[in-house]
Amino acid sequence: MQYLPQTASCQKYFLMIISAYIAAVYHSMKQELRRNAPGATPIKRRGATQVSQQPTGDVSALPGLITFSQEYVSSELTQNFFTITQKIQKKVSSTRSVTLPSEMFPVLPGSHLPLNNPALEFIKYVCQVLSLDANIVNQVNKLKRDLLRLVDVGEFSEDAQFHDPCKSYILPEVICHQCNFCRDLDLCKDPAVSQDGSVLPQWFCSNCQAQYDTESIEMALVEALQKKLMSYTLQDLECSKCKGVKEANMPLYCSCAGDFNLSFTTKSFTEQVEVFRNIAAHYNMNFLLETIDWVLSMNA
Amino acid sequence: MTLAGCINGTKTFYTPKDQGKYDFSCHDPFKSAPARSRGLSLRACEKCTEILRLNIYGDEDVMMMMMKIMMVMVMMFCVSVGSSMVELSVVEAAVQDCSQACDETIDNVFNIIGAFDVPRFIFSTERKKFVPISMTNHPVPKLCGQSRDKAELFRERYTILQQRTHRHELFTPPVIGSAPDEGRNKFQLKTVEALLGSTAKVGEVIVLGMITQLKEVFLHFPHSCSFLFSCLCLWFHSGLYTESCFVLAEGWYEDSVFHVNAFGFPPTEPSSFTRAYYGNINFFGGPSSTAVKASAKLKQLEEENEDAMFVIVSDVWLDRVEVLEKIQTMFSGYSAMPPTCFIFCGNFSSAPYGRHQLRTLKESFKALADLICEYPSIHNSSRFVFVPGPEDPGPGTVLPRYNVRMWVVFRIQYCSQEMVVIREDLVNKMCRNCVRLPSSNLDIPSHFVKTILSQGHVTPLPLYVCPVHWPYDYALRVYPVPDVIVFADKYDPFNVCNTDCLCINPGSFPRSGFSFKVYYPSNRTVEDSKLQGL
Repeated sequence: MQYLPQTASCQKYFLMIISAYIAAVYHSMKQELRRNAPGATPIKRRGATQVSQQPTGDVSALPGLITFSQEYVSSELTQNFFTITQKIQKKVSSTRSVTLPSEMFPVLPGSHLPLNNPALEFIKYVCQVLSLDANIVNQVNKLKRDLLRLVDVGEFSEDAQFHDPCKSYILPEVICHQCNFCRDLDLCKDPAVSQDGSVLPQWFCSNCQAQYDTESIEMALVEALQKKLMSYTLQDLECSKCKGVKEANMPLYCSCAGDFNLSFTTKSFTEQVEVFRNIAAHYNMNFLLETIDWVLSMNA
Repeated sequence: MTLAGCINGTKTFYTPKDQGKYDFSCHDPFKSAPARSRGLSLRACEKCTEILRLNIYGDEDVMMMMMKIMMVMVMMFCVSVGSSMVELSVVEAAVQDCSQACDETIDNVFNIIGAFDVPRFIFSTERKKFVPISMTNHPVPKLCGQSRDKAELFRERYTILQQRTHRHELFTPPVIGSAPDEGRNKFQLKTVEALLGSTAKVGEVIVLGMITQLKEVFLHFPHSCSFLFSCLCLWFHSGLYTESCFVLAEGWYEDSVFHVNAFGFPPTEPSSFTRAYYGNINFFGGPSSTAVKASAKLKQLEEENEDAMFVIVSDVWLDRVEVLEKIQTMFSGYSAMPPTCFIFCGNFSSAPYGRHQLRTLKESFKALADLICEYPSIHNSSRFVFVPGPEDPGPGTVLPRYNVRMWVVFRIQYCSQEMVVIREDLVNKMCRNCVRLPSSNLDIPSHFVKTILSQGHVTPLPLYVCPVHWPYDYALRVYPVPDVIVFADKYDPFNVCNTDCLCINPGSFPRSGFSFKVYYPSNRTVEDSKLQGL
């Protein structure tokens, strides 16, 4: 959600829709439980529950709940969603450039995609969250298709596919010096948020809220970078034809006359280094930034 | 063309049009030659006349200078496409080229060349010479190489050794008509194709290959065929035989099995031989366009400057008080006669771990800087070179290494001398990865130096022991052989001289009783010094 623009209240609308859905489902669940409370005879509802397809989702959910959520999505949610999307589109039009990200979108550590169209991104993110509930997948798909038509994007086009806007690196076994609590720290997805909503350049222990030492995390990242460089140098080469791993050192071609390819490509290496760079820039790690800039310049 | 006379060294000029001869001493050749002669345009003629008249080269023999300009112009003319006229621009460029070659600026006296700035030459087997990368289709080296670069790494190491071995007197075919005794000492280097093509047993074969361990220990060749070798009565000559080093194997070949009698290293070649063969290409790097050995001026400077010295110290643990104290003693001793250069090698912290490593390192360097400032003579006249150690922070566990503007292997050019400095615990690594224990006729440093020089590379080890960025493997080459190689290693200090190359190890400063080495370039000597007890 943090990757959506603040303008046109995109973030607020996102919260609104999702929380409205969750609240509605919750209320209906409570009602259902009350109806089926021990002692009361369950009254089977007839007729109105014309389910078009069998829900393939959660078997443990109560059947009444499933029908409710499907109905909710196809009626109330759809209407709200349409209105909101139109509002957003009217307020902020997308920028023309395809490769450069628009300034409306906040730049957070972990940003890596060139995001341009707020309405499109809004639709994608909300639908992605809603589709987590397996019971309403079909309804959500239909909704997404209709909405995409609204913003002139084809349903199966590349733009309509959801990509995680946050690329992150998980630092394993980070130990807090105050309480010795050990956990795996996701450097981009565990940010600390200050009062005004901006991301603070620090990490906090989830147990005792003490601040982690940024310097030691920086050294750990430098070490990780060293290991990546080393693994690049020591990687296996595989044949493009027979997929066999290269054994001898000197031959240029495989015995099947195929070329050798890298198993850890330069592109993949550069992408990972870019993530480090974003983290270093955001958290003011000068040494790491200098090192990364040198590595990237040597690869250019 | 008017240039014909110059090329064959006579003082006469010919023009193709009238076949007349012009004696330089009494005619102005360019004025006499008809303006329409093929070759020089009118303006180019005027420029040449002006140069001759002004005699801008002072004492230089004007004739020699004119010949040089002509030679350059011919070369440029032959290379240029288009008009058949030598234009003014060509003449000006030739003049500039010649005048640059004449005067050697002070910039060429002391230069540091980082590993990534070493010039890239590729050996062309067709032309049998080294060609700069700009003249080939080879891609520019990057840190992360392509899959081809990994194979090229070893192939180039092989090609360089092969061409060097072919040139060695033991392997050149005997001159026709020479005495039969001379022919008996010669060997013939066989190629893999020759052996594979023969069905009968081939005796007295010498091949050059790389020792690799795949499933069994193989002798490996660049044409992707490997031989299984059986070692009967095996004799190893001196040196440290590691995996991925190139060896000459002598034996006989039968039924795709090569039976080896003896192993030896490819013979080394003094740098003067290499230069005699390839000319004055600047293999080493630095601003000079030709090899600094060719410069008589620089050689003279070097010999005259008898007080020049290089102080080499390794494992300078700046976070230890006693180390800083000893350095202070050193500075106070040298303040009267400040050395040309202090080479301080890492590791710079005795405890290279922990979350405060960077901060401590910065503080220790600050302490060193304060110390240097206390001795103004050293501060003003000496150069300081810092070489990071294996534990110092930075992106490098892979060679060539870079740690925040410092290099772990780099080159120093001082006057006409070429020095290579490397900070890496090589002796240990080589000994640990030996295929066979070295013979006891030499001590380990001599074995080590012999190996390095005959391999022409500072790390003749497999990639998993000593990882190297594939496209930058050429920066670790020591071919042609430099004057000095400084191996800053934690092994005991040593000086070994081999093939006109002095190999120095200052040893670990705090662990060897605060010992270090001083090198005097003017007479090529090394002095051992120790500060314990002072």
